[in-house]
Formats: sequence, structure tokens, C-alpha cells
Amino acid sequence: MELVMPGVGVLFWTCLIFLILFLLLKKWAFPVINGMIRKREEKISSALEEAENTRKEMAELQARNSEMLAEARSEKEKIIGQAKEFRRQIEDSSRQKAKEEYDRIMQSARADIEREKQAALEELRVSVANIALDMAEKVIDSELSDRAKQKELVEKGLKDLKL
Amino acid sequence: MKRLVFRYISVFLLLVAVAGSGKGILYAQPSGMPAEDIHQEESFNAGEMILDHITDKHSWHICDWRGKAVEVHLPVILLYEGRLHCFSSARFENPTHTYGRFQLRKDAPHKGKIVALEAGEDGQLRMAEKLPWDFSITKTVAAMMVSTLFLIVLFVFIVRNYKRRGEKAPKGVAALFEPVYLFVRDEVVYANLGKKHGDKYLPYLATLFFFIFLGNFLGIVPFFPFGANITGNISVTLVLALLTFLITMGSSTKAYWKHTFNTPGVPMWMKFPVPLMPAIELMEVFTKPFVLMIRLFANMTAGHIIILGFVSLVLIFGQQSVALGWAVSPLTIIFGLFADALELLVSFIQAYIFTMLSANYFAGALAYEPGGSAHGH
Repeated sequence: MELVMPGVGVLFWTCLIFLILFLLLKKWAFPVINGMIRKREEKISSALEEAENTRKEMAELQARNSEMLAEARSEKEKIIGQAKEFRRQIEDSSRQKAKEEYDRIMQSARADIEREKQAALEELRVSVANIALDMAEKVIDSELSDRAKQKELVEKGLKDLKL
Repeated sequence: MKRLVFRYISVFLLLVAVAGSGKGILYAQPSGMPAEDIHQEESFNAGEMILDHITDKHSWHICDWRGKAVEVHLPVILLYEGRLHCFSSARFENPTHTYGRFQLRKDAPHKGKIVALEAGEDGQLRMAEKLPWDFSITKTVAAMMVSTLFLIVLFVFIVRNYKRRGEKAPKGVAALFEPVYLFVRDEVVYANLGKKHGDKYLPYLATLFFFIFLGNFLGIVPFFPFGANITGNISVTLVLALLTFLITMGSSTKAYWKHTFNTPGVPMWMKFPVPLMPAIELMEVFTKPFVLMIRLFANMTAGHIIILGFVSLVLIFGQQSVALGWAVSPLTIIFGLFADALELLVSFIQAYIFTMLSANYFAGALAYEPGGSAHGH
């Protein structure tokens, strides 16, 4: 029977001890422990969130990268095409120019030649005249005696000299 | 292994048979002691021994050394007729167990209690009608102080660890402590009360859990200064149940009382004109903490009784014959170990149940239902 009869002393001391323990833990222990656990939980959840965000960002970045790569490739194609076109144009235009230049040079050369030819002919004509005069002189010198012969000679000479 | 067990059992049975029939062939006498003396002195009463161990006392018995008890005499504090009396319980160490006007009763009535003496009409000292108020630091109180001190030291280490390690994972004692604490917080407190209310009740419930758990736990440790039956003392469980009851009443809401006196979903004839249901519900308000008190007390006391019972087996058989005592000892060790392991489990489970039900009662008083805010059926 004594086993189930509460004693006032133990009641009193249990109250006292438990309340002291409760107040001590409530004031000094639990705030620190709860705070740290909460902080850690928050840190973990924020770290997880951050990891998720980073993963998303990475995926986005990768998508953008591949997009950019495709863009760059098409750009490259375009540039190369343009370059090819440009080269063709340059080639064409330079060929044209060269031809024009050639034609111009040929023309001027032809004109030069013509001019030179005319000059040469003029010179030739002059020198032929001179030769003719020289010859005439010589003939005159030798044939002065015979007037008839002289005349015949000049006429003959003139006849031959057909320009 | 099997053969060994078989051989052991057969030898055991043989010994029982021999001891039962002959009772004396294997009887060993300690030298220099007459046989009658042994019978008188060592007549062992298991029931008495067990009750002696689990009830509260004014001295703390540690062991027997060379036939003398080694014990700690705890202070006696008495309030009698408006005056405080403080002295060591060692003062009762005399043939009549009397000191001044007080006597430590060794027999019924008031066995184990301190009574006041007064002079009768014939001049002889006799027991006074009025008992003194006994505020002594008894074995239970001392053990509770030890256990609480242990808990405080533990928490000092834990808090220091948390402060030092900051947000990093806990280490050492704190690492051992945290899973248990989180279990109490999440599975007991938040599961019953939700996060908002839970945070308010968490300090009380966590303190309650660790107080009961360590009280139970250190109660099984069989050497000084542990091993006292703290949570198997009805006064201790009464205080804890009373605190839970008071907090339940303190946090009770209108909805709770409405639910108590006008339970929804119950036919009207059960409430009026004879208020059958309200009476039952009102009774439940008080039976809940009462059962809380009884459950912890009974479980822990029963555990101590079982362990002590197994230990007693050796002594009981040893009285028959020393060899028989030796033969029984392996059985005792196995059963004792089993009971100890069971008690380890029980010490946790009982702390859990007490805390769990307390949290549940608070939730009832707040008319809070996890998952839904309104109370109803």
C-alpha cells in the first residue's frame, strides 16, 4: 500500500527539481538548440534551392549555348557564301578591268603604230624626194650635155616614182 | 552449442532432484558458522527484498561489505508543529531507530515512515496521532537530483557543441542527442500540435521527455548513484501528470469545453435530461492524467520487480544449496539480461508515450486537429 501512496516530500522535491530543470532548459538550452537546428534546416533548404536554380540556369545556359552555336554556324555559312560571292565579283570586275585596260592599251598602241607609220612614211617620202633630188643632181651633172637625154631621164624618173 | 545447452539443462535437473531429495549432500557451509545461524540470518524473502528496493527510503544502500551495509545517509527534513527539523538519517542508526522525538518505523503501521513520539498518560513514549510533514531528501529525491544534474551537464555539453559548431552538423553528445530531439519535435510535438502551437509547447514536452527518459534509464543502471526507482515512484509521476493536466486546463479553449459538455454527434437523449455523456466526458478530463500517472509508475515499477525477481532466483536457489545457486545463475543472467534489454526499450517507450499523450491532450484542449483546423466529428 505504501507503494501507491504519494508522499508530500517527493511531491515537493519533484515539483521543484522539474521546474528548475524546465526553466534552465527553456532559458538556456532549447533556444540555442532550436535556433541552430532551424538555421541549419534553412541553410540546407536554401542550398537545395540554390542547387536547383543553378541546375536550371545551367540547362538554360546550355540551351542558349547550342542556340548560339547554331546561329554562329549559320552566320559562318552566310559569311563564307558572301565571301565567295565577293571573290567572284572581284574576279569578274578585275577581269573586266584587265580586258578594258588591254583594249585601251591595244588601241593606243595601234594609234601609236599608225602615227609612227605615218611619220615613217612622211620621212620616207622626204628621204625619197631627197634621194630623187640627189639622183637628179647626179643625172643632171652627167647628162647636162645632152638636153634631150636629160629630159627623157627626168620624165622616166618621174614616171617610176609613183606614190 | 546445442549439446552444451542440453548438458547444462540435464545437470540442472539433476541438481534440482538431488537438492530436493537429499537436501544436504551438496550443501556447503561457510566455515566457522553454525548451520542454525545461517538459516536464521540468510533466510531470504524475495518479496521483502524487492519491495525494499523499489520503495522510497531515507538512506541509500550501496552494497554490503564484510557483513555491514555500506550506505549513504540522506538528510531528513521534517516540519512538525510549525518547526523545521533537519538532521542526518544516520541518527536513526540505533536499536529503537529513534532520534529526539522522531522515530523511523521499521514495522507496520507507517513502515519506513518517520513518526513523531509523544509521552503517553503512563509516561511511556508512544506514537503521536499527527504525522510530521516529511520533506526529506529521500533516495528517490537524491536519485532524481543526480539524474537531473546528469541531464543538465549533458545539455551544457550539447549547447556548447552547438554554439561551437554553428550551422555544421553536430558531433559527439549533440550528434547522439539531436536525432532523439528531432524525433520528439517532429513525431511527437509537431505531429500532434502542428508547428505553430508546437513551438509553444516544445520546451515543456522536450523537458518532460528527457526527464522521464533519463529517470527511467538511469533507474536500470544497477550501481550507485543510479538504480533508484525514480519514475516508478507514484509521487513523481503524480507531479508530471499534474503538470500536464494543469497545462491542458490552462490552454483549454471554448471549443474544448463545448466538446466536453455538448459532444457533437451524440443523440440528445444521452445529454438530456440525464447528462450521461457530459458526465462521462468530464470524468475523462480527469482520468486521462490519472492514467498517465498510473501507466508510467506501474510500468517502471513492474520492470524493476521483474529484474529483481530474476536476481532473486539465484538467492532463492542458493539457499537450497550453493551449487544449485551456481547452476541457476546462468539462467538468471540470461533472463536478467533479457529483462534489462526490455527495460531499455520500455524506458524509451514510456517516455515517448507520456510525452505523446501529453501533446495529444494539449491538442485536444486547443481543439486543434493536425491536418484540419476545426474540431469536429
